[in-house]
Amino acid sequence: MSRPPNASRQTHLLLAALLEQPRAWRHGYELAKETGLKSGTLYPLLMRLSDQGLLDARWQESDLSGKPPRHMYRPTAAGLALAREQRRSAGPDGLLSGRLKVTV
Amino acid sequence: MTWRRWLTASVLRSCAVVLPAQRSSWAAAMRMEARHIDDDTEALRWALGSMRAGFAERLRATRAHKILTVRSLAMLWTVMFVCSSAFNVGIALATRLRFQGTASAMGWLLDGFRYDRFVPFADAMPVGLFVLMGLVVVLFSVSLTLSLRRRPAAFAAFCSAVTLSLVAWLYQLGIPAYMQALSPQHRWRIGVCFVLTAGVLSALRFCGAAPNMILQRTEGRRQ
Repeated sequence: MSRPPNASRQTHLLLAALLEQPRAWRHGYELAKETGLKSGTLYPLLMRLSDQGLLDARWQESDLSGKPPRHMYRPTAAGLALAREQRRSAGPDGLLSGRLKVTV
Repeated sequence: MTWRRWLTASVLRSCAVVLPAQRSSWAAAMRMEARHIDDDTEALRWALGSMRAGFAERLRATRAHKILTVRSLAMLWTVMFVCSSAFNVGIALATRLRFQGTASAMGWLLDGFRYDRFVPFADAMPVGLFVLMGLVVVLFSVSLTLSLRRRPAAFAAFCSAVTLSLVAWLYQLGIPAYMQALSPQHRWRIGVCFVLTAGVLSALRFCGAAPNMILQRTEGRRQ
């Protein structure tokens, strides 16, 4: 039997991190540091969420001189709804076993 | 630029090649992100992780039935021949040059290998045989490269390599020290391998389904 989509612990962590600042555009390295996910895990998740319409992505010029533009990410309305749903399912303590502790 | 930064850039360039074309913006995203990481080691880790992501995406994009094609199996077979022929020439050369440690370490992979028994055999091998065995490695490698580039000549290169390999083995059988150097089981295994390979190649030719033809049919379907 296959697992339902977006049910992995890593996806929960990522959605929880995105839910922390739902309106802010975040870059990959920041999300990696916050969730503790390596780039090899993070990017496939970002791609998947983007494909499913749960994540918006855009390029943003860097404020630092000499640095290239960055790919930034923000949850869509559907992504936020899923993140909230997952937070509710995780219970009042949130993802205690994970790197993030998501408080309600 | 430090060597770590150079390696990071190289790995991320490779990652862009590995990722499916429709994911090119993601390859750019990973590459740009690495340039924002100040620590070189951290950037390299980021690049290696991105490479892993690239391979994961490539595998996901390639469905299982596409992986298990005749071409991929033939390539796997060729890789085994490249490794095997390189191993043979390597262990013989190491023994001949008295690199006992290297030869003994390689001998772990051979059933009943004994360095002292292998020395007379390696010494009895003429230089021409080493050259022939080296040529076999080169031909198998050429076949693999051509196969990767979907060139029909891959099949011819493979057949030539197998033939030369057979010639080299038959020559080795004529060296008396060979019988003491390797166990009878090992000799049988090599013989069976040659018979199987010849059988499959003949069947492919007989059925008119040599790998190049299979490739052409596949290409035709794509168009």
